[in-house]
Amino acid sequence: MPCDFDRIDALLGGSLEESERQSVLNHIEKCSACRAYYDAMQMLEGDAQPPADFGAKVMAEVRRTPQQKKKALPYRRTLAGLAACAVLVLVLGLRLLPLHSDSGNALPVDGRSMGDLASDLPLTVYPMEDEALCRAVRAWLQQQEIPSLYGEGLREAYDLTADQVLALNQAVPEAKLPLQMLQLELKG
Amino acid sequence: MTDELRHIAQAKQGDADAFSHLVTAYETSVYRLALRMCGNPHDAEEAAQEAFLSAWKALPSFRGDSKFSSWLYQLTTNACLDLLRREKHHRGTVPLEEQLELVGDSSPHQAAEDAELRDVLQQALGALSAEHRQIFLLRQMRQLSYDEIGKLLGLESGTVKSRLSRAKKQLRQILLQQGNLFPSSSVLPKGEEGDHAL
Repeated sequence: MPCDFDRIDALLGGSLEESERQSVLNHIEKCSACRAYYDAMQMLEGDAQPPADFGAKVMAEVRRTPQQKKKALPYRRTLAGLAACAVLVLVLGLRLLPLHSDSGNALPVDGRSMGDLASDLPLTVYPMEDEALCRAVRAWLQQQEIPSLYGEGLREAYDLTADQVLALNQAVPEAKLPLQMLQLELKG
Repeated sequence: MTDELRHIAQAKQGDADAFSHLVTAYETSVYRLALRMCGNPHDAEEAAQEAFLSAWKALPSFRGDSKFSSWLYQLTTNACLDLLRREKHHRGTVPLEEQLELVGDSSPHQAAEDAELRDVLQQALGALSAEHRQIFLLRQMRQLSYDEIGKLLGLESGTVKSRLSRAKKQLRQILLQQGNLFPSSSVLPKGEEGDHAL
């Protein structure tokens, strides 16, 4: 038989029929590569024990630490999404309005140009493309149990509160997310 | 309702005593997983503690979409990744003398041999990227399914499968290079190796 790690795993897991079990064992006898893998997998679990005071240390820390509040309900995320859309419409609307003076310069509103105003508005969607960074951010989001807004295989976007952005920047400093962003999109 | 489910439900409501039962039930498996991820007892202890603390903090949001154990193991490997990344740890291995201390009642010769094998295994694991090691250990040590791993890590199960396969191939190659450390391989006459095409 050819080398087959899945069958060796099945052998280790005790899920092979006797005849197949024997066949895999025979192969392992003859194949040093598979035997190395088999021996290593048998040692994978090991017999190490945590320090005797491990549980006590964990519980001391647990008793000092408050639990996080339950996550926002889906409708709240929807509201945040709607707010993001509203901001987007506002930004686009401001850009499309015929606000030009005779001289061709942007008309000031309260003494400021359209560009200044747009930069004050919250960033709606913050895209992230670097693969390694996305991986680190994704791991943090999963750890915090912050779900993507869309289903599997679709756009991967997350609504984040300012507190979450701060926490994420602390956990993954390379992320450098702007505080005013509403939604993070992972593309990498 | 099993004891575990009851403890989870109570811990979700902030009952630390109930959570302590979960710590007792999982401390060894979490610690061993962290030890294989981090490669040394000091980091393993730190990451395992962090994993339990993360579980405690996030429990109110735990919906039970995955098994509690799977979720906890994912938190464990994530805590290890964070620790390795944060402190830019080198992938340390357990020194031989420390491994000897871990071995129970076996003879000194057997203990030394076992420790040597463990060292080879840890070096091989350390040669994998942390992300590949995470998937490999969740599957091989804790028997999470491809789907479970994919769901917990936000990956397609096909991606999980291909990464796992790559990790196994790489591991096998490293183990082969160190093959003379495996006693059973040294007794084989040359030329009896099987077909390695995978």
